[in-house]
Amino acid sequence: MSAEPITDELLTAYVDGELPAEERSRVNQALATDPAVKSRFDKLAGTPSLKEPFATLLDAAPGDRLAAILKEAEAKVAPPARAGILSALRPRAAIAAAILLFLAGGAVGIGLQSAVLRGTGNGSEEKENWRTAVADYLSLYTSETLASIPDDPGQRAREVADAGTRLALPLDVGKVVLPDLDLKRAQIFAFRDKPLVQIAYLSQGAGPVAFCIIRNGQKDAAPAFEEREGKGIVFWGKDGRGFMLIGSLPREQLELLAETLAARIA
Amino acid sequence: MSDTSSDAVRKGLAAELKRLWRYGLVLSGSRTSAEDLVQATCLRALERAHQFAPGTHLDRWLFAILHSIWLNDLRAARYRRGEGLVDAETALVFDGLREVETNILAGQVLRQVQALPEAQRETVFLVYVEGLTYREAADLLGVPIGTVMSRLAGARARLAGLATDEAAPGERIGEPGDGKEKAS
Repeated sequence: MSAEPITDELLTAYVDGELPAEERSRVNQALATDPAVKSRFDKLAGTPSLKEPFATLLDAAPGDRLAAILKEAEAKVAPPARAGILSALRPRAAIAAAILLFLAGGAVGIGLQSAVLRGTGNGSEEKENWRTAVADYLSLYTSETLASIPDDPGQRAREVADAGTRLALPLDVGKVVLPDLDLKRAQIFAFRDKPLVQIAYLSQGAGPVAFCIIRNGQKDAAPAFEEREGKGIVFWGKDGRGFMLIGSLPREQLELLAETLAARIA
Repeated sequence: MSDTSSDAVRKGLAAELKRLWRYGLVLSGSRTSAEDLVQATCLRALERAHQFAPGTHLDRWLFAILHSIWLNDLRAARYRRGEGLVDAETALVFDGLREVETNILAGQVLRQVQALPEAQRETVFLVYVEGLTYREAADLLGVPIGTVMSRLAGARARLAGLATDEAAPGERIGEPGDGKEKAS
């Protein structure tokens, strides 16, 4: 006899229309001639359809909650620039924002147009570029950008911890809270494929303030001060990472805060 | 171009949420875990949207993500916490089902499917509920096609009451309530 046994697998695949033609005819023949196979087949084929019962579960799905979950995920993955604020921006900033939105689609991170436009650059130029990029980006922020973020300590703690992971730097909320500034959000970006984290604060008097860290292998450097986009920046380097604190605060205050941060993260 | 990929994912995700949730429910047996799975799947899908090949099935792609999150993260975490999956399989008579209990037949079928071992249950769900071909299911689950076949055959045998495997004598007969009677 040439026949291999007719297994449940064969019969199941037969029922499901997944059997190649030659196997099919073998099963056909067995069904016609072997009552035991036929009886087994009838039972296997007689199992109830599952589509309708499982459709009831779709009706039971918490649609609103799932929609909210998706929204939250979208907000987390996309940069904060929103179409709604575009109209309120200066033309130049609006163009930058449009680029940001465009690049946001790639889910990689902020656009950093200046970095793109200014060529590849050598090491030190690149280090400057990341600050330019951050300053440009922050120039799009208004107080409203940050004010609408709800206070959620658990969420903040997770964001900060995640950011630390990306930077290979142990971070927690305690290390980055600053006096008189509301910690609003920690986000992960990339600048030239280097992980870049922005921790955003809102100052009642001075608007958005950001503490940014990039893991770019840069050399240690003592804190220095500069101005870009009308904002003050204190920046320094430590253990292969670049740090900057940027905002429209008085220089002394900015330097003091930067010192606090540097000491905690050392 | 990756932008069309991202667009396709962003636009398509919303329509798939309920099916993702259902898949999560079938795997985990709990509404909360199902929501966690949907959340993690959304995040990962958005982060990796550029990897999606436009023109292919978004639902399959999302299922594969959810499957791998379940396998690598959530289920593993549950085992690490020593909870195992027994609860899931009994509890899968779903929290959700209470709302549809009017449909008694549906309830019975769901219970039967739920009582299947996890691997069979998942395969049955993908092929018989979501309509994947054997090949698609094999790819998604990362197993040979023969494994898909034997899981489905095993599941059909169980659903048909033909299963001869493990059920110890007495295990199927007994209703709950053994040994708890008050001695009076």
